[in-house]
Parts: sequence; C-alpha cells; structure tokens
Amino acid sequence: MVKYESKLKANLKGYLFSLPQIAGISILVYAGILFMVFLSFTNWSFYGGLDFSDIKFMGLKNYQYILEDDKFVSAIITNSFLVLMVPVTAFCSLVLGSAMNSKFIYERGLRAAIFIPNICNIVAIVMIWSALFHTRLSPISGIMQSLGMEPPIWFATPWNARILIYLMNLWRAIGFFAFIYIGALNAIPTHLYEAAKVEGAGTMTRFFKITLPLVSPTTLFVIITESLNTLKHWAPVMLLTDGGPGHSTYVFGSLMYKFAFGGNAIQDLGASSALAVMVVALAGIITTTNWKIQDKWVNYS
Amino acid sequence: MKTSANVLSNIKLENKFIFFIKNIIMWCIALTLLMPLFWMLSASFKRDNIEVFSFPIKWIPENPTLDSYYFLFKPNPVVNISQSFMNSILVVLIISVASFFTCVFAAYAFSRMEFVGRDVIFIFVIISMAVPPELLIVPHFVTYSMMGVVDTLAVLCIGPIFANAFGTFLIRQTFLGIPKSIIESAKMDGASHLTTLFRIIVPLAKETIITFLLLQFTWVWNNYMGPLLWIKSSDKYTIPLAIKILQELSDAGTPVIMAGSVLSIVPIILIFITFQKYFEKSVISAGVKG
Repeated sequence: MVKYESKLKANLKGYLFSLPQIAGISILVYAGILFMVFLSFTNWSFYGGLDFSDIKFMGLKNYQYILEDDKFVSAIITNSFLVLMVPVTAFCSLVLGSAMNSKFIYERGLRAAIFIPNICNIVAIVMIWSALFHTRLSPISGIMQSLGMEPPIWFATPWNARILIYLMNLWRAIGFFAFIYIGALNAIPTHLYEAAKVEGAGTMTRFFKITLPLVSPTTLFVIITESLNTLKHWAPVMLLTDGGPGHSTYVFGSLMYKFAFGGNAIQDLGASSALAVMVVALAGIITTTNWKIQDKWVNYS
Repeated sequence: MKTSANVLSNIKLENKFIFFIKNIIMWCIALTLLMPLFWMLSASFKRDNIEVFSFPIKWIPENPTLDSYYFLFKPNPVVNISQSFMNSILVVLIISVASFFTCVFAAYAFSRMEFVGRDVIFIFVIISMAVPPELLIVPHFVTYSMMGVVDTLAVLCIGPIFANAFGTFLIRQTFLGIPKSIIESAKMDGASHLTTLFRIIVPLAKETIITFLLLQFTWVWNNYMGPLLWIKSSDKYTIPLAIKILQELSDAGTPVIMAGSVLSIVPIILIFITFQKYFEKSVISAGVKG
C-alpha cells in the first residue's frame, strides 16, 4: 500500500513538473492542428466572432480553391527555389566555418561580426535591404555603375526579386550555420588531416575527402533546419516584396496570412487552413525524408 | 647547422606571413558582411533622404546630426517609440523568467523523474518541433480569441512560455549528460526534487540554459509576426512592429527609420557580446551531433 502510494505520488510529481509544457503543446500545437484540419473542410469565417452556428461543411472545396489559385503556383515556384538553394547556403556556411576554424587576431570579435546579421531584427534588415536595392536610388547600383556594369532594376522581375530574397536569407543564415560547422569541424580528429597530408593530399582533396563526409551529420541538420525556415519564415519575404512584382514572390506562409487576415480581404479561414494543412504536411515530409535518406549520404563514424 | 636554422626561421616567417594574410582576408569578409549595418548606422546620422542616397556613398556623414533620434522619440500620432521599447523589454523579461521555469521543470521531469508515459509524451514534444507556430496562425487566432488575450501583451508570451518544445528538448539533453551518481548522492542526502534541480542540476547546465535564453531573447525581441497578427492598438506595439508602422504611416524619412533600426539592434548585439562566451562553449565546443 505504501509502495503504491509513493508510486502514485511520483507519477503525480512527474506530471506536475511537465504540466505547463504538456498543456501548452497539446493546446497550441496538437489541438491547433486538429482544429485547423477541421476548419479546412468548412466555410467558417470570423464574421460573427466565435459563433459556430452557421458553419457549413465544404468538402474539398477549400483545397480545390487553393490549388486553382495563381498565387499558389507562384508560392510553389518561390518556395521550391528557396528550398533548392538551401544546399548552397550549407556549402557557403561550411566554407566560411572551415576558414574560421583556426587562430585569428581578436577571434571573438571576428566570430561576433559573422554572427551579428543573424540576430538583427528582420524589420530593420528589410529596411536596410530595400534601401540598398531601391528601384531608383540604390547605392549598390551606383557602385556597379561606377565599375562600368549595367545594374539590373532590383525587384522588377520575379527572378530578380526571388534572388534578392535568397541573398537576404543567405546573409542572415550564413553566420549561424558557420558557427554550427565550427563545432563540427573541431570534432574531427586532426590525425586524419596529418595522415592525408603525408600521403600528399592537397587542400581541396582534404576538404572533399575528409571534411565534407565527416561533417555530413551537421549538414543534414543545417539542411533540415534551413528548409523548414524557408517554409516558416514568411514574414521576411512579405516585408521585403509584399508578394511582388505581381504576385510572383508569395510564399506559402504569406499567402496563408493574406487569405486569413490580409488587408481588406474576407477572412477566409477555411482556405487559409487548407493551405496550412498542406504546408505542415510538407514540413513533415521534408523532415522525415531527410531522416530516412540520411544513411545514403550521412556518415556517423 | 646554420642552414637548418635558416630554413626553420624561413618557415616561421612564411607561417607568419600566411597568418597575416589569412587575418586580413577573414576580417575583410567579416566587415563586408557587416557593410549593410554600417550603412544603416551612417544613414541614421544623416539629415534627409537626399543625403542618404547621394552617390558616392559617404560612410561618414559630413555634418552628423542626432535629429533623427530626437524625431523618433518626439510625440507622434502613429507610434510611441519609447512605449514600444518598454513593451519589448517587458515581454522579453516575462518570457525569459517564465520560460526558464517551465522548460527547466519539464526538462527535469523528462530526464530525471519516473512517471507513466514519460517517453511517449516526450516523443510528442519532439514531433511538435517540426510544426512551426508560424504555420498555425489560424487555430492560434481562434484559441487566443477564446482566451480573450488578443491585443494584449500576454498573447506574445503564451507560446514561448507554455509551448517551448525547443527549450525543453535542448535543456533535457544537457540534463541527461549529467552523471547519475551526482544526482543519486544528492537524493541519498534527502534532497527534494526542487533542491536537486536548482542546487545541483541547473548550475551544471548553466551554459546550455544561458544559450537557450540568449537565442530566445533574440527571437522574442525580433518577433515581428506575433505583434503583426495579434496586436492592434498602438500603445501595445513592440519595437519591430513600431518601426514598420512608422515607415508605413508617417512622413519619417530614411534617416529616422534607420535610427529606429539602430536602436532596435544595439541591445541585442550588446546582450550577444556579453554572453557570447557561453554561447560559443555550448555550440562550438560541444558541436551539434546529428
């Protein structure tokens, strides 16, 4: 009896300690997903406040509506482009990380300098970025002209805009991932490099034959994290281009926002939920496929 | 003998030269990465848009002025910047303190307490990390409306405090790495869970906890989406939204916007540099394994 009681007590204590997180995650994440799936099949809007009396079941109409929307096609193109560029980000971060993985004068300052773009608030970054690539007054265009190059009209074409979005992402992400790579590089035993050197392997060979395979777990982490970031960080893209030119640079998230809360549009929570359901599924697929295919290219030894 | 000494000093000289060149290159790269921020800083001290966009770029303004900073804090019909700063500070403080407790308690429960269903629940915590809150805006909108917290600062705090899978996971992993014997011996001495947790475990996991709080500080301080979605009245704006609204709705020129940006970035840089030591220790020395 005493034993049973103490076991019950231990259980209760365990639940009590983890309760704040369990409750929050259950309500905000899991109940949220279920509710969102439910809403995606209905016509519910927030017109009458929290009134569910004239809610109607719509079947797959919301999904059909999203799939037939032109903006959705733009979002697919922009999002795919950003995800396909993630390995480039990973590679640049690795190169930067390897370059920084040795002794420097005032090393801490150097590392802080690389990391700072990552911790600046996005509104400030976008303000700077839009001023630097201003349509008429761009200082970058000025520099290019003085070097005898013909500057493009930034943000004028869909691909220009997408590339500028990517460059902003890269600029913000590279410092963070370089940090992570420095950690991984420190863990590589130096005798491997020494052995390779003795056998006459050059810097390039050593980088591709030793460094690249040995940091592959970190690369997996970087690729998953940054792919998910491109799916979830829609506010920067919306701030920078507001979907323009035309609606070419919508991403899934900003489209979701526009459907649900955008400007004077109707609060189409059903369509927005349908889109969100698809994106959450996609996020799940990206994460699991990356975990599944990792033994093909990730080296844990 | 003499020749070999010469060779040695040559190698040293060559190494020194390489070291020097390497430093110059890396510092150039770092400063290039920071160029947009220098541009912002310099623009904030300029008088008007004409001066900001004049070419060639004047990195050091001819007649530096603090007018933009004064303008920023002058009463203005759209936003109240000093109020927004107070709001940001308040939200960051509340979240840091409260999420420290909720995450540390949950991390302790998931690593050092025995209860039925612990590991299954923990798997649900991990999986929830793959579902970004940025994609759950519709259900959150409804939940927060039901709770009646929309358009209050509380709405910005609920998620990071009560649904912080990242913090729980990160801290739990560190707790697991603490040798069991240390905890067992504390229990032998009759220490309660709370004493063990705050006297023994938390101090040993200091670096991870500080790193977590540091990362979270930057996320919360920089959060733009939350206020954009849930905050409507201007006296509850936090800094990022305030700057955006200022740019959209007032006649403030680029220098003023840049001054606001500088002020929003400075605190975060100071905090980062102060705690960089811990951050580097937990990210760089430990590395990310898998």
